[in-house]
Amino acid sequence: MIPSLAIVRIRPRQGRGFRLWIPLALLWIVLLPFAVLALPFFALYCAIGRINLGSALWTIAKIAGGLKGMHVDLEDARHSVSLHIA
Amino acid sequence: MNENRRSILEMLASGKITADEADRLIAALDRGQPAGAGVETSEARPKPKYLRVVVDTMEGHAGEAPTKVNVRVPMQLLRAGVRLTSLIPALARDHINNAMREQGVNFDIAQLKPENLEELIDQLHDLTVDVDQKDTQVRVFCE
Repeated sequence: MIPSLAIVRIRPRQGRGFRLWIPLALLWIVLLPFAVLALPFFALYCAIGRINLGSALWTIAKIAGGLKGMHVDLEDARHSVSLHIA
Repeated sequence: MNENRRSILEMLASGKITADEADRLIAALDRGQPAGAGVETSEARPKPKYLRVVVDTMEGHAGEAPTKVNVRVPMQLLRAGVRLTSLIPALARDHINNAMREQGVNFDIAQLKPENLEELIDQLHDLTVDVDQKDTQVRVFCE
């Protein structure tokens, strides 16, 4: 299952921060035409490198799916940034 | 039969407790000690789902607040990452292997399979890497 939502939170040490809810589902839809355009080039790369195209596409799909649950917190003297992929 | 169960049955036999009380005591005993308790098997333990990397600095630059990093990486992503080796063209794979051999690492990257990672992940339960430096602490563990 590919991730459908990314939540980015940026908060300064002092003052109010903000939180962005990014619907990744929409991003995938936007990227889909580009992926279709890039597919022949990728197939060519696979043919030259003697790579199984199906296996390569499956790996990319698995990586996209594996991003779900990823969480990164970064806090320094001025800001606190948090990214969560759901 | 363990000692607790035997003593409950002895109390029942000597009339100190009723059959209902004995039943309740035995049930409570079973709840407290599930079958196989004390013998922790790898099958019983859930597999770790995330790899956590936590970096804490004790003090920031010029006395500023410390920097903290907390990264949680899903194991699924690591599994998929291992499959990336299959996307490396054969020619590039040879270059990588040669470069590694020159550095004294005799390893064929084509042999890196997701099954190998599974074995590693199975053992990660007990692993915690702590790196303590003067002003930085790094922890790597699974959860």
